[in-house]
Order: sequence, then structure tokens, then C-alpha cells
Amino acid sequence: MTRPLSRGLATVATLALVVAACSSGDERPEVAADRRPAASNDPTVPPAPPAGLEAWPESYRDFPKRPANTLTWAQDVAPILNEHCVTCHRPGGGAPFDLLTFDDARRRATEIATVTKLRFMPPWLPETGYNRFEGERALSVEEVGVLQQWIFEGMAPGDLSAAPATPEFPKGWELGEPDLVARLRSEYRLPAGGGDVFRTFVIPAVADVDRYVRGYQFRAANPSVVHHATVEVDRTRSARRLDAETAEPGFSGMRAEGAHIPDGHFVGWVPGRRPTLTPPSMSWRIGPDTDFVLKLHLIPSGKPEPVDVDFGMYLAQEPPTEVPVMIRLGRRVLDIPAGAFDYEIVDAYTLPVDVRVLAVAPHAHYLGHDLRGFATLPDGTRRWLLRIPDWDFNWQDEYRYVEPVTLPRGSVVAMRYSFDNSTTNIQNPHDPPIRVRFGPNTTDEMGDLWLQVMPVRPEERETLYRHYLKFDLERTIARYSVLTEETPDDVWRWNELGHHLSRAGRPTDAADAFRRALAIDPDYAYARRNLAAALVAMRDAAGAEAELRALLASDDEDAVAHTHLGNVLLATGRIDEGRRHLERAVALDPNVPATRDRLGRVYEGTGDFVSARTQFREAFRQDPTNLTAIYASAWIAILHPDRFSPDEALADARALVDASEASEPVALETLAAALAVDGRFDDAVSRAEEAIARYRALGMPDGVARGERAVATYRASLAPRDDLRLRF
Amino acid sequence: MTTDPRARSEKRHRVAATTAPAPVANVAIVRPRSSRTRAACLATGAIVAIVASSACAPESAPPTPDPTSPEIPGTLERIELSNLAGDAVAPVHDAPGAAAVLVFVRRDCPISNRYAPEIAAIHADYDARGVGVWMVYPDPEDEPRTIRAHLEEYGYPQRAVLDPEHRLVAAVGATITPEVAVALPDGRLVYRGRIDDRYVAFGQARPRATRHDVREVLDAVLAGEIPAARATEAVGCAIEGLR
Repeated sequence: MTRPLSRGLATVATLALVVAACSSGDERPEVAADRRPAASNDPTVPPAPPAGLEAWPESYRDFPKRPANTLTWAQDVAPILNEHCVTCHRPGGGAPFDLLTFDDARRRATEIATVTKLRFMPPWLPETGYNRFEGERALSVEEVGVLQQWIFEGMAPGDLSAAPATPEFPKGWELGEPDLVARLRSEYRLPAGGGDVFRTFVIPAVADVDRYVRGYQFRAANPSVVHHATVEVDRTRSARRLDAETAEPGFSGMRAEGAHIPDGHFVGWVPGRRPTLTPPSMSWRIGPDTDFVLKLHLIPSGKPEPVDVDFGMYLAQEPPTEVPVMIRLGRRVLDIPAGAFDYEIVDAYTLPVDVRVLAVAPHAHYLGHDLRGFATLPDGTRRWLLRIPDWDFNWQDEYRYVEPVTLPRGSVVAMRYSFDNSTTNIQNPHDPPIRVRFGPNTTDEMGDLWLQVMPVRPEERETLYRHYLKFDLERTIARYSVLTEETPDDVWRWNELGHHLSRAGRPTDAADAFRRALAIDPDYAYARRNLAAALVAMRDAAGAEAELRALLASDDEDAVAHTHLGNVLLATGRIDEGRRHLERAVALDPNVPATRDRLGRVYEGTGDFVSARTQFREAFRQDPTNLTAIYASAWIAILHPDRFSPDEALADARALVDASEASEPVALETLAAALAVDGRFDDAVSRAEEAIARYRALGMPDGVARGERAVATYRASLAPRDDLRLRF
Repeated sequence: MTTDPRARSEKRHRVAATTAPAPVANVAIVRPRSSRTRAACLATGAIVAIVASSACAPESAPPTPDPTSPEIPGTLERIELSNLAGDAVAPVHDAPGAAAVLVFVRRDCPISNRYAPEIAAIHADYDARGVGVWMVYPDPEDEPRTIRAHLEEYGYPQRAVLDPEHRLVAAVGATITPEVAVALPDGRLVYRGRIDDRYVAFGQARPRATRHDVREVLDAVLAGEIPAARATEAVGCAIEGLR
């Protein structure tokens, strides 16, 4: 110990200067509401901290002490490291060094002492004592005391042969061979130097049919550079399009319009997270159209690194029966002045049904500071949901309650976050600080608290979901009302406001917003189209028509305007003119199945059956979920044997059967009719009788009656008639 | 230590003034935002103080420093270390040119490795102007083979010496990797400490450095000014653990 002593005094002198300067009063005025006594009936004010919280020791001497010189690595330190540290600090665990052996610990003693006292390691942001979460990694005061004392006393090894066995971790796929794997392999190399990188990568769809995922393992080839991963799904190809814009794999930033978290579940990875399976009833769906969007936070290591990922999925056999609802509390109107130390946002939501809160996920960027989530029950009881007094964006995670928190109907769940945009925030992306607004980049700011919630009674899920969507929509409208007041000349914002007002069933207000947009920019086509749609909702066909004609006057190639005008004209009885506009719309943009379907109906109405069937078949080809289109096509062929062959009728009928659920009676009776057209009356009778049986089982007497007429017709070897088809 | 749990949460965000601030011209400080950063200063100080004063009771306070002393050794004596070929070389005194930059690194320190691009850049920018960058490996478990692989992997300048007995470490007063010392050819030490101010503590890094300390010193030396000896605190892995 003499070597450190001789150098130590010199270093101590330097460091004592550091200590002194650090202690030079960083007084801040008390501004946050929760530092005053809490008003007991305001659900947006956090409750008092739980009783019995332990203060964290300020210095080494304040930690609890064991008897002097009795601590050894083998007996006292290894169990702590094995339980709390080794899950990451082992080969392949993601940490930059191991802590498996005595020598590992001895070589890292200074670091261990520093980071555990700071509570920087193990990484665990929620404050101990507020909630109990699974996988809680934080060390207790006693455990940190043991580590500090062992190091101070010279790091005795103890009897290494009596040390606990090195923990074993399953290699590779920890839950066994996955059922499905999505692989990210690319030429991308994380640069050697520079700051943290936030990049999104896309893995195109891997499922052949709908699959239900009940567990996954995110395996980065290089876990020490992937600091955090969020996995979302995208059924719109928007992320794929962004990826294709540049030759480089992936795209910078986190923005992908169509990507969203899978229904009701957090999917992602942080160092040390172990894969788990949910019950099979609680899976999330992926389909043949589902791309995976990997949003990665990458930390340069000093040399270029590949970023390859294997995302293995474990499937349930059946669709989920329990789908959690994700409730987001938060604010998207964030405007943090430069230098503000304690900027606060608040949000609250009243639960319409009894729920259990399963997990929480807080989110903010580098300015987030003190994050609080809490609930107020109807009887006045207050509960903490989450307390993170010292947010660190680099260690964000989701937290699953050991015991789900039951909240009765009428409880108010709330969040209150504070942000530090001053120079005392080392991680402030801007030096000097600048004004920061809401946005997805890490140089912007966000404040969300996601609650994964299950209704206590499954039949109330729909109620909860609709109620929450309404709350979210109202919040969005409120936000855009504020934003349009701030920037009254921003056309896009007025259009967005109108859009959300339309969704909320307020077409008159929506129309006003769209008019505001058009007052600023009369050529803003989106707003004019939207205004026309709002006028239709207000039953002002003449107004809608005027707007749409104005649009087409300035741009005759606006397919959407042609479609809308066509629909308005059809609705007001001008069939020919309406038809011409729909035809033009289809010519300009052939791939809108809804327009094809509409045009098919028009042709059917005017007796142009060949054109009608063409449109219906095309609508179905573009959208195989549109069963009414293929149904209409089949019956046109069936009822007009002068224009269509029996093979054509059968082809359509079989397509309908294939696309329908098994034993769907409407499909069966269509197939029966097609068989009759083909002269196979016995087969037709059998199919029709199957349809009758199904209609009986479903309790649908009209269907039964129709089926019986069909059977009578086919027994008499007669062709199908119009009264055997269902009119939608 | 307080018993009011609410006051505890307040203490995380307020730093009690316990000593009068000392003038600190030569030590760069960033005011901490939270107990994490604040305690980093305290913790590192406390551990070294404890280690240094092991002959005393743990509660004794460190001696009050003289704020005007540079806290780094004035002149280095000639020290010979083995290079990768096994020859004895003296990194400071044998290097011709304007200055020698000694970079203390560990192969297994993530912060040290993250600085590889900047160290390589300093070499690229200053080598032709007579500044020799030397990689110094204090880990007794390192050998030329593993060091060569490390230099190659991270793109470091290919000039390295091994210091398993910590002789150069002790002479310079290096305690951390990565830590840099800048010396003139006659052995005068003009700088010891961090490469830049990007890292404030473990887990606390700025998005970008605001002061590039080594470059500043080299620019001054190359301009013919001999700056007053200066030390800063480096953040990284302790050399002390390598024995």
C-alpha cells in the first residue's frame, strides 16, 4: 500500500480542490409543487414519498460496517457480483469487462468503489422503496457497504476454493430454438469515433401467415455497442421506403411514420435484459405484411463495428385473448427555454374501468430530470407508479411490477416530469443551451409515461380502449389548438387540427380549420380535399362539389379529388358525370381498391356487367380482404350466363370460398349457384344444404329461407335467380 | 444525515456548501447537476484519500492543498522501458523534436478505447511537426503480441512501450487510462491529465468536448511558448488496479 500512499497525497491534493469546487453551492430555488406539502385532493400533484425510505450515505464512513478485516471476495463479494453484475459483466454479456473472478474484481476495485457508491452501476433508475419491479438490479446500502469496506481493507481474496460457482448463462438462444428468426445483416459499420449514433434499421417481413409472438430474444452480434434497442412493427412499408432512400443500410434518426409498438407490448432490449415468455393468451400479432423496425442507440467503441442482429421469436398457436392496452401519459407541447432548470409537464387520465397496471416505460431525452408517475384512487388513496429522481437517457428501460397495481374505475393516473435545460446538465446536447421543443431527435425533447394496462374484466377492454382513444384524440386536438395559436400562419398545423377534428366527429370545426389553412395557402390541396370531405359530413354536397371542382381546376390530375367528386355526383344523382370522374381517378391512380369497388357498383347499376366484373375482380386482387367485391363479381357472372362462362362464375366463387372462413354460408351459397350454372345441380344442392345448416346454426332465418329457395331451384334443375343473392 | 425522507430527495439536487470555494485556475470543473456527478468528484477523492491515509483513521480529512502549485512533477528523469521489439528506449529523452506525448492506455478499458480515433488524429496532426506520440501500457499482463494486435485493431500510432512496473506511471503521476502527459525533450513536464473534457465522470459524458486540452498544450509548445505546467483530472479506469 506504500505506492499509492506516496502518489496519493499529491493526487489527493488535486482531488481535494475538485471536491471543494464541486461543493461550492449550487443552490436552486424551490419551484416544483411536490416540494411543498401535497394538496391531498389534486391528482396531478405527486404524493408524499413512501415512509421508511433510507437516505443514501453521503460518504464512506456513513455506510454500515461489518467487523473489521473479515470480508473476503470468496465469501462476501462474489455473491454480490454474481447476483447483480455478472449478467452483463461476462463474456458476451455486453459490458466492456468481466467480473467473474477475484482477479477481475481486484483489477477493477477503484471503478467498483466509485460506480457503486454513485449508484451509476448496476444501472437502475427507479428510486428504491417506491415500487417493486422485476429484475430490480440496484444494490442495497448494505451491499455497497460491503464492497466499499472490502476495497478499503485491501481486497482479501479469502478461500478461493470455497467461492460460489461462477454463474452459468445459457448460450445462444436462451429459451431454445426460436420458431421464427428475423435477421439484420448489413454492410453498415458504426464509425470508430464521434458521438452516440441513433439509427433505425428495417428487417422486411418474415412471417408467411399471421403469427402470434409470445416471447423473443434480441441477440446483437456486438452487444457492447448496442446500448439500447426498441423494436416496432410497420405494416405500411413506410420504414422500408425511408431505408431505400439511401444506399447505406438503415436511416439516421428514429422517425418512421407507419411504425408503432406491437399491440399492447413493449418490445426491445437493454444490456442485461433476459428473454421471457408471456402466457400464450397474451401474444402480439405479426403478419406477412409486418416489417420489423429496429431503433438502435449505438455507442462508438474506438474502432469500426458491424451491427448485426438476430431477432428470434417464440410463437403461440392461437391469437391472443388478452391484449393489454397501452396508455400514454405525456405532453407533446414542450417548449423548454434555454437555461431553464425545472421546466415541468403534467398529464392525467381517468380510468373508465377497473384495471391492473402490469408495467411502465418512461421516456424522455437528455434534458429529462425528475420523472414521477402516480395514481389517485376514488377513495383518495394515493399510489406511486414510478419515481426516477435522476433520469439518465442512456439507461432507459421498462419496468414490470412484481405485483400488478390494481386501480379501480375512476382512478386518475398522472405523470409529472421536470426537465433541466441549463449548463449544469452535463448531457445537455447544446452548449450553450438553446430553446428546445418537442421532437423525436435526441436534440429535441419528449416526455411520455407509458402504462401497460389490463382490464380486470376482459369484456371491458373495448370500453377502455375506446375511452382512451377518445382521450388521446382530445389531447391531440388541444395540442394543435395551442400550436395553431402559436403559429397562425402554419398551414400544415391548421390542416392537422382539422384532420383530428374530423376524426373526432366535429366536421363543422374541422371545416373552419381547413378554411384557415386555405386562407393562408389557397393551393394547399390537402386542406381543400379535407374541406370537401368535411362538407360532405355536414351534408353540404354543393359546398363539397364547389371545393372539389376548384381543386380540379388547378390540378386536373388529382386522383383523390376526382374520386371524391365522383362520389358526390353519384350521391346527388348525376350518375354519368360521377362515373366519368371515377374512371379518371382510376386511370390516374390504378391502385386504389376502394375506387375500383365503387366504379364496379356504378357499372353494375348502369348494366355494363363486363366492366363491373372487371372492376370488382381488380378490387379484390388489390385487397384480398374485400370479400364483397369478389362476391359481387361472382354473382354478376352467375346471373348473366349470356355474357360469362360457367368457368368464370366458378373461378370467382372458389376465390370467395378460399378467402372466407371455413363454412362461411354466404360463400357456400355462392359456390352452389356457380355449380348450378355449370349444370352440376346435385353438387349445387349439396352446397346449398350445407349453407342452410350453417345459417341454422348461426340463427339466421333469412339465410335459411334463401337457402331453401336455392335448394328448390336447383332440385328443379333451374338456373339461379336474383332473389338467391344477398344485396349489401 | 437527515431523517426526513422528503428532505432526502431535496438533497439530491442541492449541494450543501461545506467548504469555501478555492480559486481553481488550473483544474477544470463543471458544476454537477445531480448527486451522481457531484458524488463522482467526492467518491474518487474519497477513495484515494482513504487509500493514501490508510495509516491514519479513515475519518481524517485530506490536507488542504496549495492552490498555486501545479501538482505535477516538474521534470522527468530519464526512464528506459521496453518497446515492442524488446529494445530499451527512453520515450521522452530519446525522442527528437518538439515534444513527447505519453498516452497511458489499457486494452480492456472502454473509455481508453473510445479515445483511439482522437489519439490517432493527434498523431496524424502533430507527428510531422515533431511531436512523438507514445502509447504506454502499464498492464503487467500485456505483452508485445497482444499490444500489437491492440494497436492494429484501434488504429493507434505504432510506437509503444511496456511499463509493467509502473516506473513511468509513477514518475509522471498518472493514475487513470486514458491519461496523457506532455513533456519537452529535456524532461520538463508541461501537462498531465485528460485528452479533452468530453468525460466528466463515469456515465457522464458531454455530447462533444469543449476543451481539447492536449491539443491546446501542443499548439502552445509548437508556437514557442512554454506553458505553465497544468494538470487536469482524467476519467477512466484506474491504473492502480493493474499489479
